[in-house]
Amino acid sequence: MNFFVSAETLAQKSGYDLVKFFFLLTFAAAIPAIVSGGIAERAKFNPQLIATFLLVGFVYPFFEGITWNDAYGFQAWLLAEFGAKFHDFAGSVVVHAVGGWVALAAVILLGARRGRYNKDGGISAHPPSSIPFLALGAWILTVGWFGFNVMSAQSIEKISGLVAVNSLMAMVGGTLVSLMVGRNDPGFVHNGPLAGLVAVCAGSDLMHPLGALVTGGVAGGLFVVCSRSPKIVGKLMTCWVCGRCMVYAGRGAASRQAYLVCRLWAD
Amino acid sequence: MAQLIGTLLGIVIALVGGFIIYGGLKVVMGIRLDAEEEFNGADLSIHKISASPERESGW
Repeated sequence: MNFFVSAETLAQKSGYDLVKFFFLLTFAAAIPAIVSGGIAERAKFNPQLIATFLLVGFVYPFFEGITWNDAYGFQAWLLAEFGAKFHDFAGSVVVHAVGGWVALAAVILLGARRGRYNKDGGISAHPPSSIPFLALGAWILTVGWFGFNVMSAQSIEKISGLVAVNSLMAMVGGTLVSLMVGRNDPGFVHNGPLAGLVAVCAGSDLMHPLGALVTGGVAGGLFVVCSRSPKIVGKLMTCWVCGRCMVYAGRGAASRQAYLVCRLWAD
Repeated sequence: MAQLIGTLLGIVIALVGGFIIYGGLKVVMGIRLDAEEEFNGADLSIHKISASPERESGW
């Protein structure tokens, strides 16, 4: 993509190159969005602006290029060595796990919110400032996810209804399991579908819808359990919003396993 | 196996990148609000307006 040409040149092929650029840009924008959720209410504003620039400009494109643009021969090496490329259809790892793990690094450096941990080591949750807004945001994100996942095929010929249905099934799985495991806690219920959707991104073009349902369910359950338990997550879980971190980081990993299982099954 | 390695690579890049960027910023300019600003909340201390008027009613 070269921007130093005339607008006419840019607009060739109905501006397809620009569309692709715009699409991948919105992926990149997810990284600081994920991180900011993890560091909210105690990080300074200006450093986060700088971090956003560096993350979106360098860290994210580095791994994305390796994975989706075959940069540095990593994918070719995997193919030669193990007979398969690293498969991440819509960014479970490329986008969400990377965002989550960057957030983890930021959170470790920042420390917990004041009052997050009691003296006896227990967690005291900060109440969400607004459950209706939490719900609104979560479900706007959920709706948008469908367009994002399906069009991750990046061309009309390659789009598949399978991706749409798998996304739906994972969303349902995540919602139901987080509802049950989280015992109706709205903070968990509204994040559950997101956990499911993050998990299914990688394999949504290959899985069976039932597999996607299970994947989403595992993700929703893991999300609730990890957010609750100081023992599992220990000192790493340094804040409430780091639930985000767990949603993303944990889900990325879980989805890979689920994907592997499904793949073995298919073979 | 390719999936596992790819995932691990992503994690490593993200963690290293995150630590470098936020670690650098922490050294250079600090990344954390002071205690009073944090107690009041980022909305009041940075933006000088409450994000949620209803919260005075007592959460």
